[in-house]
Formats: sequence, C-alpha cells, structure tokens
Amino acid sequence: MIMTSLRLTDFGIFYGNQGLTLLQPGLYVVHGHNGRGKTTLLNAIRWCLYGRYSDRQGRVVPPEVTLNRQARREGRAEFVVEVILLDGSDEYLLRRKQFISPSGPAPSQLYAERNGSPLTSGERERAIDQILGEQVSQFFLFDGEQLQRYELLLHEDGGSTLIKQGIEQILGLPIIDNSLADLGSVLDELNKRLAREARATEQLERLGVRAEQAQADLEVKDSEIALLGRERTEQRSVIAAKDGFLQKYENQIEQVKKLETLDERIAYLKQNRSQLRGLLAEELQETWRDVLAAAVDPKRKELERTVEKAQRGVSIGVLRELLEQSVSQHRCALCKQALEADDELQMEAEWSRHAAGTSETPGTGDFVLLQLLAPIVDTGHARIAIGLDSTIADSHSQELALRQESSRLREALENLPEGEVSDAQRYRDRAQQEIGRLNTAIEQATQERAEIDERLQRTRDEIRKANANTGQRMELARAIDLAQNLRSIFGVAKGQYRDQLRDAVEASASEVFRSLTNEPEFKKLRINGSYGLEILDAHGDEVGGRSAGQEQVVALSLIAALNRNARRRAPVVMDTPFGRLDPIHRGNILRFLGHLAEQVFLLVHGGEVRDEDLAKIAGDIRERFELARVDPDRTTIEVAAGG
Amino acid sequence: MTDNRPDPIHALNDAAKEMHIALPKGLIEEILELESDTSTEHSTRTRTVAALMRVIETRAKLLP
Repeated sequence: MIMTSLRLTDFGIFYGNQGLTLLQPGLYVVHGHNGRGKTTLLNAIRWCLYGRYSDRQGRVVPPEVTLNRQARREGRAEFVVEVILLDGSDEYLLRRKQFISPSGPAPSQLYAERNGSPLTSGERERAIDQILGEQVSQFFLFDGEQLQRYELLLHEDGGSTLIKQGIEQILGLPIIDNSLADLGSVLDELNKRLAREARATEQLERLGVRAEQAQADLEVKDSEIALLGRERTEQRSVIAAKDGFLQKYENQIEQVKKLETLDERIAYLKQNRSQLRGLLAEELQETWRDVLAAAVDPKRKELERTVEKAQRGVSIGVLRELLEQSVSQHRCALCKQALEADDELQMEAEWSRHAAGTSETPGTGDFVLLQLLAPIVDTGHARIAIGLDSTIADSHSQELALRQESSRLREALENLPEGEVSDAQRYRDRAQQEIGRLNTAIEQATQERAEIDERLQRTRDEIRKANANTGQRMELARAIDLAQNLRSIFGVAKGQYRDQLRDAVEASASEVFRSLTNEPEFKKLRINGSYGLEILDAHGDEVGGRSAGQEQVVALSLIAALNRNARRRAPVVMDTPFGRLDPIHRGNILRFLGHLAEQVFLLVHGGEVRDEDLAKIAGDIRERFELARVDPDRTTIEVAAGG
Repeated sequence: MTDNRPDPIHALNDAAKEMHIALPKGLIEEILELESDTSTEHSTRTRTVAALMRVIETRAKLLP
C-alpha cells in the first residue's frame, strides 16, 4: 500500500491548502529546519487516520492549537487533512475536518470513500483498521526520538505489552487468535444445540416406551377378541347341535306349539264366557221392563190419544168464546179495536166451523193411568240378553271343538321325549343369549382395539418425526467434532506460528542490523518472547550496555524486520531518525532506506542529513521536498531543486 | 524485497498433520479468509462467528 496524496489546509504551520501529490512507490525526502513542520506532516497523517495525535510527551494536542495561527487571525476556523491511499486495486480517500467555533471545537468529521463510493461510519472504522490500525501505526509512522521505546521489549515484564500486541497484529497473529476465540464461540453454540437435542432424545425414549405399551395393549386386546370369537364359535356349535336334535322332532314340536295355542284358546274362551255370563246376569235384571212394555203398550197409546184430543177441545172452546165475544161487541176481544164488517163475517164463519165439533172429555183416572204407564217402555235389555246368551252358547261350542282337537293332538304326542326336547330348546336359547353377549363383548373389544391402534399410530408418527432429527443430530455431532479438531489445530498452530514469526523477525532484523551497524563484532540479534532484540557478538554472547545510537539501529532493524514480515504493508514515515547516529550509521541507514518498505518518507533537517549524504543515495530518492519558511506562522512545501 | 513471511496456512496444515487430523480441503483457507477482518468491533466479531458457524456446518454435512 502506498500514499498517493497528502493535502493539508490550515493544519499547523501549513497555511492554506498545500501538500504532496502524485506520489508513487519509493523514497521521498522531506527536508526542513527545526520548526518548519516535519513532525507536523507526520501528525497530520496520524490525525487524519485516527482523529488525534500526541506531542513528544504523549499529551493529546488540542484542535485549537493545531489550527494555523495566521488562518485564525484571518477569521478561519477550520482545518482539514486529506490522504489518498492505494491498496492493491482499491483507492481509499480519507478527509478529516475540524471546525472550531467560538465556544470550542466540535468533534472532527471524517469522510471516507473506497473507489469513489462513500463509506458508512462502521465501514470507515473498519477500513482504517485494515489499512493501518492505530495500534500498529507506531511501526510505520514514527518519530526517531521515540525509537528508544522499543528497548522496553527487552524486558518481558509488562511495560512492553502494548508494543508486543502491536507487533503481533502487524505479523498477523490475531488471525489465529481470533479464529481460536471464534471457534470457541462456535463450539459453545454447537454444544448448546447438542444439549437441546439430548432433551429431544429423552422425549424419543419416552415415546418408545409409550409405543411399546400400546403395542402390548394391542396384543392383549387381540387375544381377548380371539378368545371371545372362539367362545362364540363354541356357542354356535351348541346351537347347531341342538338344532340338529330338534329337527327330528320338528313336526311334533309344531304340534306341541299348536297344542299350547289350543290350550291357550280354550282358557281364553272359558274366561271370556265367565265374563259374558256376568254381563248376562246384569242384563236380565232389566229384561222384565221390556216384557211388560209389550203388554201395556196398546193401552198406553189409547190413553195418550184420548188426552191429546181433550186438550185440543179445550183450545177450540176458548177460541169460540173469544170469537163470540168479539162479534157480539163488534170489537176485538184481544186488542180491543173495532171490527170491520168483513172481519165480523169471517169470525162468525170461524165460530160456526168450530161449533160443530165437540170433544170427549177424559176422566181423572186416565191421566193417572197414563202417568203410571209412561216409564214402561222397551229399553233393549232383552235383545242384549238374548245376544249374550247366543254368544255364550257359541263359545261353548267352540271350546268343545277345541277340546276335541286338543285331545287328538295329545294322543299324537304321546311318544314325544318332551324332557329332552325341552332341554335342547333351553340349551339352544341359552347359547343364543350367550352369542348375543359375546357379540356385544367382541364389538366393545374391537372398539377398544381401534382406540389403542390409533394411539399407537399417533405415537409412531411422533417417533418418525423425532427420528427425522437423527440426521440433524449426526450432522451436529460431526460439526462439533470438526470444530473441536479445528480448535485443537489452531491452538497448536498458534504457538508454532508465533515461533515461526519470531524466528523470521529475528532473521530479518539480524540481516538488517548487520547492514546498518558499523561494529563488525556484532553478528546477530536474538529475539525474546516480547520481540525484544539482544545484540550477540561473534561468540554468541549478549552485548550489554548498548549506546543510544546502537539502540536506535536495533529499533530500526526491528521496524524493518516487521515491515518485511507484516501481513499488511504500509508506507513508512520516519521523522528525524538520525539524531543520535554517527555519520557511518547514518550512511548505512540512508543506503538501506530504499529497501525498508515499498514507500518511505524521510523527514529530516540539515543537521541530520547533509546534501552530500543524500547525493550518495540520489538513485534511491524518488523526490525531495523542501519545507520553506514564509514567516513564523507559515511554511510552504516546495519541490527541492534537483529533486 | 524477498517475501519469506511465515504463512499461517502452513503452520495450521503442519499442526493438523502432526495431530493426524484430516481436514476438508480448503477449509483452513476458508476460515483464514473469514478471519482476515481482525477488527475488534463487536458487530464484526459477531458476523465472523456466524459465518464461521455456517462454514463448519456446511463442511460437516459433507463429511463421510
């Protein structure tokens, strides 16, 4: 990965908008006297990536201090840094702005895009972490004055932990660490699922017990039905045997039945006759009235006629008297109105017509006699009594005929083994009843069997469904095996990989160190568990009491080794790295810089590196820039003459 | 600049060989690809674990 552009607006001493553009792989030298902005360039990159940067004392620099003083005097309140990075085929643009209001600075705002597409907040953080995580940036963006920090790595007791973590991140060890942790999470989840499946297995066992019980119940019920069926067959055999026996006496049995019917009929006739006789007796009590009515009927009718005639004569007498009175008085005897002549004539004629008839007056004895004879009339009792008597006689005749038939049948049935037939019939009837009972029992048992069978089928369905998960359980078990194997492998490989990385870093650092040091007795560097590097002499003994310059060379060797072995590579920006080095070391390092990383920015002042030094590596330098003073608050970045 | 960086894939394959564990072909590479995002962000880690679970389940199904 290389940085193709760095633009700053009012950042620190860089007034207005300026920067480095059209950058390519190679070594870039940025030259400037103290205070001209070399460290500010380094900090600008840090601030753009991480939103903060620190001074040499490790204090975070507040935004108000960062804003260019001249810009502030001119009323501007915003500074910006924009970095463009090329990572393989991906181009990242990162632009961070900081606005400072009168009440103070707001949080800075980062805009980022990949290949022209804006990134979301989460994507921005992730992209920066992948490009150059803050923890590892100390090995790419560093201040030469801080290099002695790496001496801490020689002591494996705590203080170097963050640096060690940064080194391992550069080298790519977290990929194994994360895999191990993630495999642990996967195993936890898979084992949870296995526990759930175990519960399902317990349920399956319960279903199995239930199915076995239902199966046993079904078999018991089948046996019961079969037994009942056999009993029914036996009873049917009894019926068949008895029917065979009774068949021989079929006619006699019919006659016995007929005889029984006759006896019943005779008994009925007797009983019926007895009732009829009772009715006859009641009827006879009223029969005398009908006999007497026949005798007195002529006399009674005569008396009735006499009385009727007498009654009619009285009425005519009254009428004649009224007519006579009306004609004599010429006035109606009833309404008292005067009569016309015609009316009187008609009345006289009427009077004359009734005057001829005279009536016979009945005596008092006639009336008494008529009153006595009136209730004596024919009531029909006699006829009913005659009918009853006739019916009784018929019944008697029928009974006699039936008795004769009965006697004849009894004679014919004298040879019938009545007891055996009766027993056979009783046994047959009993067998028939038993068959009825058995049919009911078989029907009930069959119904119960159907219910058990349904229960069994339901249980089997549940078992089939539960068994369908068997495949899933097997897959789960295989997944757990696989995850466990992977975790074991990653666990073992982690240590081996770390050792390999350490060996590789040691070899690379030793190689670089030999090319940088001016001491031929120093043969190699030895790495410890914290990536601290010890200098070994030709005898393999550790060289103690390292000078500050030697320390700086070792640190640069470590940085170079890390860059060689890093999983992800990034530009290296070195600020004032030669402060403690003698000319020989300086020359060695300058010659090496072109091989340190794909792209290297060397920020130096004239006291560190002279023009003749740079001239010696002119072939390695892609471009030189000069940080030129405009005034105490303004520096401009210019391409150096001959660069 | 020569590239002689140790490769985690080699380290993992060597470990598998030492432990006599046969892994499905390409599985280690697939896992390392998943884990290449080393961000410590919670959502990233959760997403990676879920993806790793899918990979392992899928591979386990194909095991004999």
